[in-house]
Amino acid sequence: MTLAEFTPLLPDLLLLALALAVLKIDLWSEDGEAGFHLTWIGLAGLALLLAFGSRSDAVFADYHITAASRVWKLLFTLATLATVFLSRPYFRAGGNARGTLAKSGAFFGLLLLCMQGMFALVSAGNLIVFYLGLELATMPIYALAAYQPRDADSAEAGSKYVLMGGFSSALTLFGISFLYGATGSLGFPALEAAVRAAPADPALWGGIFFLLGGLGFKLAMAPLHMWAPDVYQGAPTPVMAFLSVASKAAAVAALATLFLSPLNAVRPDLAPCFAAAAVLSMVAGNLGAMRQKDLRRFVAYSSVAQVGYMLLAMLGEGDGSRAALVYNLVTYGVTGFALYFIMGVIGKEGPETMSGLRGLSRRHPGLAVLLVLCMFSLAGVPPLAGFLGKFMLFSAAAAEGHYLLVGIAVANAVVSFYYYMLVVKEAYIAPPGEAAAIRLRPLQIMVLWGLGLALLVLGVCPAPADWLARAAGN
Amino acid sequence: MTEYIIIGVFALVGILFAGAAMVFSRLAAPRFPDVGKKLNSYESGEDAIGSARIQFKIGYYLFALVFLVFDVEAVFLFPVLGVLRSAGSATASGSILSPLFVWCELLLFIAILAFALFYAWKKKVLEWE
Amino acid sequence: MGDTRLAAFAWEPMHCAAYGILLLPLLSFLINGLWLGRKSARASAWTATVLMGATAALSIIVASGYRDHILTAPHLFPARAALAFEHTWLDFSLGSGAVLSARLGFYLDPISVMMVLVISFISFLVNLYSIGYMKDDAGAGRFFPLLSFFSFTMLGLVVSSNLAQTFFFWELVGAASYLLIGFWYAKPSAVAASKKAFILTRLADAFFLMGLLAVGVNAGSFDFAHLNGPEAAAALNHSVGAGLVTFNLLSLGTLGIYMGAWGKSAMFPFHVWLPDAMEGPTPVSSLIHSATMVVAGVYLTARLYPLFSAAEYTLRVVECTGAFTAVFAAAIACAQTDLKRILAFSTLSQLGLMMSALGTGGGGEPGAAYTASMFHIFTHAFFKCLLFLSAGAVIHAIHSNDIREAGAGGLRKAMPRTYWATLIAVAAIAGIWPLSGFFSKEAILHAALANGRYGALAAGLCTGALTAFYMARYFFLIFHGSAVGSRAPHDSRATHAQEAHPVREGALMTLPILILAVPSALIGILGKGFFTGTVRLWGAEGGASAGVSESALPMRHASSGSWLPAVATVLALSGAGIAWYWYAFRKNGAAFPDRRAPAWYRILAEKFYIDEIYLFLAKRVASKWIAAPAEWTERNIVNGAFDWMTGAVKRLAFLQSIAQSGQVQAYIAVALLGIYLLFRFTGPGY
Repeated sequence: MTLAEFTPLLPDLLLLALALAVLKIDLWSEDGEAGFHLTWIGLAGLALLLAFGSRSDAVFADYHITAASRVWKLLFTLATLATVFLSRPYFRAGGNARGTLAKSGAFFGLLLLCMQGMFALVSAGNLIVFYLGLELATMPIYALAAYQPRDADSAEAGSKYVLMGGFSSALTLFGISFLYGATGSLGFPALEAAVRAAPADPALWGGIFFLLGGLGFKLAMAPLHMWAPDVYQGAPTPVMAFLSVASKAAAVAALATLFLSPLNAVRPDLAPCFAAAAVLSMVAGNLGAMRQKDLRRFVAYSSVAQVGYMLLAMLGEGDGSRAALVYNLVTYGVTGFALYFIMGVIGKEGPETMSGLRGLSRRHPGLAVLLVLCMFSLAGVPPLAGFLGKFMLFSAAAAEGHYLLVGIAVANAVVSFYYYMLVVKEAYIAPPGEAAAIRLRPLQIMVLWGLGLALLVLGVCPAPADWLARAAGN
Repeated sequence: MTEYIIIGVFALVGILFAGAAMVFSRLAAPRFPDVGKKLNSYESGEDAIGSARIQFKIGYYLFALVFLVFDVEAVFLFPVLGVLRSAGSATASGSILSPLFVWCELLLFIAILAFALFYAWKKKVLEWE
Repeated sequence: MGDTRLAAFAWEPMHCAAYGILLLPLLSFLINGLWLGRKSARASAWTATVLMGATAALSIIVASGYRDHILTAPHLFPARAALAFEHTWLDFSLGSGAVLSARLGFYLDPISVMMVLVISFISFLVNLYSIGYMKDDAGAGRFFPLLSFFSFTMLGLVVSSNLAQTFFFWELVGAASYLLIGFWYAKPSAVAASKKAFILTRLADAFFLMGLLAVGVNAGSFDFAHLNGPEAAAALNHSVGAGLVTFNLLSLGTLGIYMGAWGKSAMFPFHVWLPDAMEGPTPVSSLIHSATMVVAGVYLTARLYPLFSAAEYTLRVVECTGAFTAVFAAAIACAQTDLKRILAFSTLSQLGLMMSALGTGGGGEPGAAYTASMFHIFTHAFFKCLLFLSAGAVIHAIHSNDIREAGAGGLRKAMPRTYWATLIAVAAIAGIWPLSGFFSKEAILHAALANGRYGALAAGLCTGALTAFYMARYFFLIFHGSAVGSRAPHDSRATHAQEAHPVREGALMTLPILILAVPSALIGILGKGFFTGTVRLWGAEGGASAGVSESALPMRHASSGSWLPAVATVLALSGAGIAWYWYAFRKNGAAFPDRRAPAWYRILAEKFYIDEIYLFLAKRVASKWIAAPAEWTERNIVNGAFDWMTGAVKRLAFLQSIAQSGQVQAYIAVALLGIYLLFRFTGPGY
């Protein structure tokens, strides 16, 4: 046992140290600047370490470091990094019309702790570690959702998330107990063997469905999605961004971790269930999004629909599915964050609603163009990132012969296109009065350009995401 | 089968016993139609004041949470110490668990807990305003 | 899947030119869009035009390289197809080691080379024309990059070597057309039109995507070279079950792909977006209608023609939609008064002809059908572009789209060059010998006859007569109309424009019109040999067809249909004659709603009994019983159906919002019920 053996574990330990350091700094620095800089530098370093650091796999009892887990962790790190940047103006006086957020140190600390949970989730080799990761990835969000001071909506979001989260934790734990009862083990290798030996055990199936219920909540998969619009709407925008990208990625990773390895043997039997959930999510998300006027609510429904598309990958064959999932999450994350940054910009002066977008083309043509790119990407128009993501998901399902399902998904994509175009329309409607031009800070311009280019690059030249997807597929 | 019969008998007797007590008291007790204090909620003999739906001070919850953390963690520390002794001898399974490793892990765990207490203390969670 | 990849062709100048054809328009888009367009609209216009001209020159290099190196080497390129370049773009894992590759390639075969030439040439002319047309528009700096982008997407589409690339550019074409149709985004009607076009074509594209996935995944490749081979059709030709319903995968897949073409080429009932798309600037309309966008559907169908012709059922659908649209749109065009709308419906009708020609291929002479359709795409591109550009010149001069106001302007004398150019284009589209339309229409009719598709033949003849009628009406009303029956001169902007600033035909706008008049007139004779000899698929029995002259490979069954050109010409002439008699000679003015005809007209009308018949036939029968019901159907049923569909989706959305009560207990109840139902119906016990 030498120290060198711990190098694969370095990112996880570093994250822990980072979280503690950020909280520690928070005790002394009042303005939160130091905490912000430490957080983003730390996260950037972590991302580099995950991308280019140690590639060896390792097993620490029930904590497994694999290539796939590294890719997921990189994804979480990047999503959190984007959230940290997004949240910056929300802590400044006058940075957001809804009110200034306070206590940035604790905010970043909670984000990092949440990430720690996600790390544990994808490295889990045991149902208990899995459950602990899931809980740690959920609990900080209870506080984060209610972070807007003196805001009834935000308080409502927090309490709703607590209630639904408690409910889903109970379901998950119940499911785990069933699985333990059915297979007599909690470790993934033993679980896998037991499932393969007796795939028709009713207790096993009870456990699987309870687990699905618990994960479905985290994923905002219909019919467990109904909390999403309320929580997304009430939570501060950066938290909503974190929920819709990082937290969703964690849930997808959890689904993939469980159902693509230890429970892989029963996945073909689960196909109808995934198919039904996918269709429900797509329909519920798309129908819901159609009538929304509030952008955060709109994002919530649209992300429910995206979950529906992503569930298609669970019908495919292992490696291809994982690659499609990772790829889709990357493209979805890039598109989502581009949209959230735009929301942050318009949220500076007005509410983050559809009508708040009005006149954007006049106030800042570049932002309007970026919004169009976002919407086209979400709708899956080439050459934008979203197109390739959808294409891969659809082909994963089509390769297994689920044509009807692909048909439904494609039909839903058309319906979704309708309301994405409504958003575009708002941006190009001129408001009656004279609107002031929007001025952006250099950092904002850089981030927006970066995301816009990523939208195009990921759609035209899939190499970077392809690399991720391949690494995750192994 | 006989075990189930015994359980069944117990259940039956339990229900009968509880039911009989309720029925009997209902038959035997004098009944005065409701007036005054009878409808008040029972507050350990005190007179109830105002509505039950009031806002509690958030400090109660913070205290409860902090208490929960340290109380529960302390309870679990004992079994961990018990396992720690045997962890050293369990390396035969070829796992990476060495006594030093487990010891470091535990130390890390306690350090994080201590940090949490420290954080709560500095954030003035322990002060009652 | 076997090695079906085409031999790459490496003749260095051609190789570079092929890259240039895709990169130059893209470069123009980037330079003008990111930088130059904001600095100077004029500079950006010229940059775009020059780069487009260079693209056209490069396309000539590619075409000559293709002719000299590929057509003359049938032993190397038996299918007369090659790849100028191809790069792997993305690999899709299909599981168990199979990989489906999407590539970015430059496919060379007779029709792709032909389309590259047409698109780059017409784009160049439209760019040139737009310099004058958009001169005074505030958004000109935004216009030219978009125009370049539009050309780029279409070029990428026609040279694609596989279905994935096709779909990619296909969607890009849609997005580019969306941006251009809605170019004047301050105008609500333009925004609505662009949205309608985009959403409708996207709806059709959804089926395309499904078809593409079904075909690609099962045939094991997206490559056209593989899909058009016999093994792909054989691999697809089996039934797949989806519950109680089973489909033939070949029919299902090709039908799905055809649905994409259906929407893009605006076949009935997806055609509703095309007339509205006139909200864009006229140069955009001319590009959409001649070389880009709408012909993409016909091109796609032709591109996969060998696969389609293995699917009998799909071909029937192609034929029927095409034939119906041809007649239906022609009938509507007879009753329109908006210049650009007449042209829009004429495009619909001509596209219908092309589609129906492709669809007739199931009758044993697929080569003839394919050739005819491609020939018509080719000639149509020139004369339709010419029609639009000259219509644009008219609109630019009189500031109105109304054919009745144009008639008041005495434009024949003011705009002689436009007058003659329009005359050529009208005669060409009407199919008058020896103009280009005559030859391609004749080829279509021949193909229908040779394949024994008499319904399509009748539809073609009928469309020909109607086309001649409404195009002649269009021409005579604009240039030979009189102020009589029109608005009073003092409130007519047309007259005002003429008085204040005499109509001038700007040189920049006239030049492309004059240039286009040449191919519109002559390309039929010149191109016939190329199409009957080189373009034909399956014309190569014996393997030596490449490069042979026209005489060596005469149009088949020409003898059996020698009466066809005569009949078609007679029909066209009589259609045009009726229009001439009615709109030019008699100046009857059926298009004038107020019917304030002069006194001598009344006398004449009573004197000639034949007028009554014409009136009855044209006005009562044709207009009331054909054109009016067609228009009514169009307005109420088809548009109404689409409105209803969107409304129904919205109503569903409302139902869903009721369940979203905001109460956590309701959410939990729904969640529990949902999990239970999932378990109950999709769990292992079912």
